[in-house]
Amino acid sequence: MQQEEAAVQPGQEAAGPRDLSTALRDAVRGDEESFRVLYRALTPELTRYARVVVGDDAEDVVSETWLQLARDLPRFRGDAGRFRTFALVVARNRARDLLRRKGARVKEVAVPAEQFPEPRSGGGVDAAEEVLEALSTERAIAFIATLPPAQAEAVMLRIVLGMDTADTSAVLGRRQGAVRMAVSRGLRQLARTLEQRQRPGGTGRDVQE
Amino acid sequence: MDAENFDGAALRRLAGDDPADRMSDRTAGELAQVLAAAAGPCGADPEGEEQAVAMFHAARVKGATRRRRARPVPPLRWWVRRLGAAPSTAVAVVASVVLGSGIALAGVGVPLLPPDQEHPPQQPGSVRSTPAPPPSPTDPPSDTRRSGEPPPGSATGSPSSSDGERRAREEAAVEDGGPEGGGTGATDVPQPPPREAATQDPTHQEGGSRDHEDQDENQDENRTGGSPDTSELPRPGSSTRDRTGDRDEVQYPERSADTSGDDEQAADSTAAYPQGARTTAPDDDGGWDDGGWDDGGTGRHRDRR
Repeated sequence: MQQEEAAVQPGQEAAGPRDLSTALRDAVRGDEESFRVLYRALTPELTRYARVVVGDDAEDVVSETWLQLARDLPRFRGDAGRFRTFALVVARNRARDLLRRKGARVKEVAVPAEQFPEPRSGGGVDAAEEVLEALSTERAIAFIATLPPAQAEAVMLRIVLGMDTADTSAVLGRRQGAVRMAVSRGLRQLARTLEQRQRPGGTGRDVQE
Repeated sequence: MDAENFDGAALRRLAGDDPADRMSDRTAGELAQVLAAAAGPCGADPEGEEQAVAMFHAARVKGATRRRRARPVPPLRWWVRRLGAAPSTAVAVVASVVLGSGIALAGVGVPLLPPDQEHPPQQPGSVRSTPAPPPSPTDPPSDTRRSGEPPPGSATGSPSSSDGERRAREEAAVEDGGPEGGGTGATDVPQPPPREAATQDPTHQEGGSRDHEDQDENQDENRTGGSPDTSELPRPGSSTRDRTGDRDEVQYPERSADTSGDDEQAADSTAAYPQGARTTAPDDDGGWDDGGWDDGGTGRHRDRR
C-alpha cells in the first residue's frame, strides 16, 4: 500500500498536468468545478509543506491559503506551474504570518522516533522495507520537519514536491545556490539520523536533541 | 515531481558526493523511502474544500458586483481624446477646471467659458501665477512704493489700482473699436526697437531680463512687461504670435520672427490684448506661463518709475 502511495505523484492526485492547466483556465473564468479540481490537486502539496513549516497548524495555514487563492484566482495570469508556485508562496506567507502571531517557529515537531522500526540486523533491503511499512506520510513529514527550517523547506519543496531549483528558490525567496546547499545539508542530516537509528540503541531523538 | 528523486542514488547525488560524508547505500535507500512516504496522500479535507469553494463563489460574486457598480473616473487618455491635445495640455485643462483657475484655460486655448466671459477685464499680469524670484538687494522696499498692493512678482502681479483702471479703460476702448483677433491690438501699440528683437535670445525668457538690466537699465525698462503705460509696450500681437506659434489663425503684423523673451515680457499683459487673442493655442515650449515674465523685474521697474 505504501508502495502505491509513494508512486503517486504530488500535484497529480486529482488531475494531471494537462487537466490542471485546463482546470486553471476554467477556474479563472469562474468555474467552481474547475476550482475544486485545483483544490484537490494542490491541497496535499500545500499541506505537506505547511506541516513542515508550522507543524500541527498546517490545516489552518492551508485553509487561509485557499481563501486567498479563491480571492485572487480571477486575476491570476499564468500556467499551472506558475499557479502551483504561487500557491506555495501564499502558503509560505500564511505560515510565516501564523508563526509571527505565535511568536516563534514551532519549537518541536513531534518526531515519531520511537515509532520508527527498530533496525534489524540484516540486509539493508529489509530495513528499508521496515521503514517503509512503519512510516506513514505524516510521520515522514514530521521526520523532515526535524531539520532546521530552511533545510526542511528546501527538502520538502525540492525533493518531496519535486520542484526544480528555480521554482524552489522562487518560493523560498532565496538564491538557487542557497537552495542547493540547503537541500544537500538537509539530506545529509536526514541520512545521519537514519544511520543513528540503525545503530544498536540509537534513536532519532538523539539527533534532534 | 520526478520519481527519481526518491531513488537512493539520486538522493546521494543531491546530497553531494563527499567521500568523507557519503551515505551508504542502505541509508540512501531508507532515506528515499522516507521521502517517498512523505509524498504520500494527505490533506484530504472535504470541509475545507467546501469552504474554499464558497469563498471562491463569494469572491466571484463580489468582484462582479464591484465591476458593475464601479464608475471609473475618466482617465487622462479620455481627456486627451476629448480635447485633442497633448497630455500635458490636458492636465493643464483638467487642473484649471478643478481649481477654478483660468490660467491653464488661457494657456491651452480651450475656451471652456463663453466668449464673453472668457476674458473679463483684467489687470495686467493677473493671469500669471508664477512666483517671482526674490528681489535684488538694490530694490527699494515694496511698501515704500505702493501700499496695499501685492508685492512685485506676486500671484496677481497687478500694478496700482489706478494703472489697472486705466488699462481696463484702454482695453475696453480697443475692444469696442477693433475687430476680434489678437492682431488687432498690435496696430495700436508701438513697435519695440528692432535692435532688441534681433539680438535677444528667444529662449531666454526667465532671468534674461535681469542680465540685461545690469547692463542697460534704460533698455531693460523698455523691455519689461507689465509697464503701466500701454504706449510703452511692444506690439501685443507680436508677442501673442510668439506665444502661440504659427498655428494661430489670427493675423499678426509683420515683425521679426526672432522675438526675444524679454520682448515677450514687455508684451505680456493680458489686458493689453483684445478679446479673442487668448483663444489661440500656446506654443509647444510652454512659453506663456513658464514663469519667466512676471519676475520681480517687472514690478521693480514699474514702481521705480
